[in-house]
Amino acid sequence: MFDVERIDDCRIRIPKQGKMRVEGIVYVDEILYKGIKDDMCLQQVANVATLPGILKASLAMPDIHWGYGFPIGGVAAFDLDNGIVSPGGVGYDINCGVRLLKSHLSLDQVKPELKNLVNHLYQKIPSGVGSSGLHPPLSESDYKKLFVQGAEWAVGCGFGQKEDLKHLEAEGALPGADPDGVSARAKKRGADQLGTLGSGNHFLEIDFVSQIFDEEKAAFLGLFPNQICVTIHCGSRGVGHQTCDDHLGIMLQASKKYGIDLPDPQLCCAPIGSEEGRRYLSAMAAVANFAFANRQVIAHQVRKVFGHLLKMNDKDLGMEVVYDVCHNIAKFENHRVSESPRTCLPGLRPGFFRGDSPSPEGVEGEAPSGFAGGEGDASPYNREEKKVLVHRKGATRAFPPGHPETPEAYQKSGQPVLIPGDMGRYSYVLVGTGQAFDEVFGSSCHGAGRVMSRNKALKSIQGRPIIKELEEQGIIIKADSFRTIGEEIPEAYKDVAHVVEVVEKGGLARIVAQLKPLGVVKG
Amino acid sequence: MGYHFQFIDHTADVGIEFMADSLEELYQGGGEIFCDLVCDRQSIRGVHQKTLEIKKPSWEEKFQGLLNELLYLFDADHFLFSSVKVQVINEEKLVVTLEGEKIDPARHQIKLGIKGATYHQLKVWEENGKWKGRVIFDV
Repeated sequence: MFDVERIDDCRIRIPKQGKMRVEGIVYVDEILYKGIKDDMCLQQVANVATLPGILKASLAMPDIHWGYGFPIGGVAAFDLDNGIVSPGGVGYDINCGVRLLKSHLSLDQVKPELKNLVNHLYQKIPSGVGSSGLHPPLSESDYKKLFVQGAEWAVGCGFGQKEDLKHLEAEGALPGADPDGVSARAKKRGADQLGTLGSGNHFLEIDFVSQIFDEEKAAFLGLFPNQICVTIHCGSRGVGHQTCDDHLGIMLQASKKYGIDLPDPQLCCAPIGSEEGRRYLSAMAAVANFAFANRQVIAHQVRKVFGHLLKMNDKDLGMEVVYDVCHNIAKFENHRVSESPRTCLPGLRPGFFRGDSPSPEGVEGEAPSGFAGGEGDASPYNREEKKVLVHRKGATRAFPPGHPETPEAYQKSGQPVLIPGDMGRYSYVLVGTGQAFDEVFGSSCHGAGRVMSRNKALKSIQGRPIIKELEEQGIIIKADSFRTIGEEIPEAYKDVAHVVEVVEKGGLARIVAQLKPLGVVKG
Repeated sequence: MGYHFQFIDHTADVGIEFMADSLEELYQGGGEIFCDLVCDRQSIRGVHQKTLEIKKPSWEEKFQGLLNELLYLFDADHFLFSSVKVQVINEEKLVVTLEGEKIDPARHQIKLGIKGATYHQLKVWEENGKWKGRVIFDV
């Protein structure tokens, strides 16, 4: 066991001890801490802190829970010269992520057709284990283009529009992808899975905007009360799972070769600049691009189903992408890495980000102009910035207003951060802040976080008519198996409203809107 | 003779501990329970036979390697297995004989999607004349 100390209402510290190279910082209040203090996830934060080249701290977001290797909700950045890359910091489902579509539709327009819509989405979008996709089996030549171009390749094949790409993280294609770095086995596993949701906690949801918390930012995101939205949660399917497994084997050997002491073999890794490290990163980028294309294909199919059933054209539907975020990924990003005390942006009073001081209207979290400015720019964002490799395992990028990688439409609001909850309650849309950029490498949580194991969840619902219960709440659910529904019951998750409250109090992102589910298709 | 297993209460994923009289039966138990997690093994007919070789340096890596090979055959070739028989050839090699069939959606209800058998808390050890193993699957 190790010492843990509370920093403030929203953070605890695991001080440097044993082989830890940096401290651990976990964004939890007392309620969330009680839920995790006895499981393995804090040990996992400490384990990550032992890895070579880790910068600032081993971090965890408020939805932290026990994972494998990294904790779920874990964020860690590594120095390019002496740091490592670990497939365990990305996970099997490379670029698992969330896409949110908005629409011109209102709750009243969709409610009468809801059952029909859910049934059609379930029929037209393959889900569940072993499902085959919406695209014919991918050939070697398809893979070569898809792995490099990502979502753009899907648009070129007729799935969606070019405008969609502007609102995807990395515009739907990570650079540095090497199609030849992905094994034949991985390609075979994913060949017929493009345009499939997969299983487990993956889903497709018809939601409505149930509450707006920040009208100005909601307007930038194009969200309004009672608006119909669609949330898509899925990843890179078998091609990602196999790529992770292929490289874990290589990294186990590499860890021995480079003399890296591993507290958990799932953290096996290699120096970023090593042959093994570079091979993993280029394969990971290729597979991440498969995931972007997967969500692009599914989004296109959603539009088709809505258009067909509601007899509306694309223009009238207005189903545009709000944003698409990765939450299992390793990315090269520019960050300030020097140890710095919690400071405020110019014009903000100390304590503002902690939520103990009212904010000056319209200033919060905004970066000064000239964010990425040139030489001599006095912006606090580019001072001491350097390129690092950020691992986000069950964590979402949350870039602030003014950042060059925040899409043009969101330059004043900050990058949308999509936080699904559970199938019975609600999800949230937030935006990134300058403080998150400063403290946690521009990151936020990725969901509610489980509190109950799948077995416990199944046992707890024996005899309960879950589908009927949800229907009585106005939620229609379709899934491949009752078991999936049982494993994913709302009580199996923390209340995401509380999780995002801690996110906001901790300054990691600002809450913009709440979405409530109307129809759910589970994988 | 035979194997026993029990679930570990892992928050997000599925963990299982095994106990067997021999190393061969431990691996057999791992393979067969994996198949049971994915699909009711009773519904799978042993109409096709496949033989695998698992070459890995440690008992743990061979365990993980076997489970991920079964996952690959399911995901890529859509094969499910009712029987998994294992011969430990030496410290580095297993020979695995599988009996099963291709998925038939009319007869096979897929229960659980598994992404991978992880190395986290992966362990194979001998204790009081019994072989024990532990694995956590990412689901």
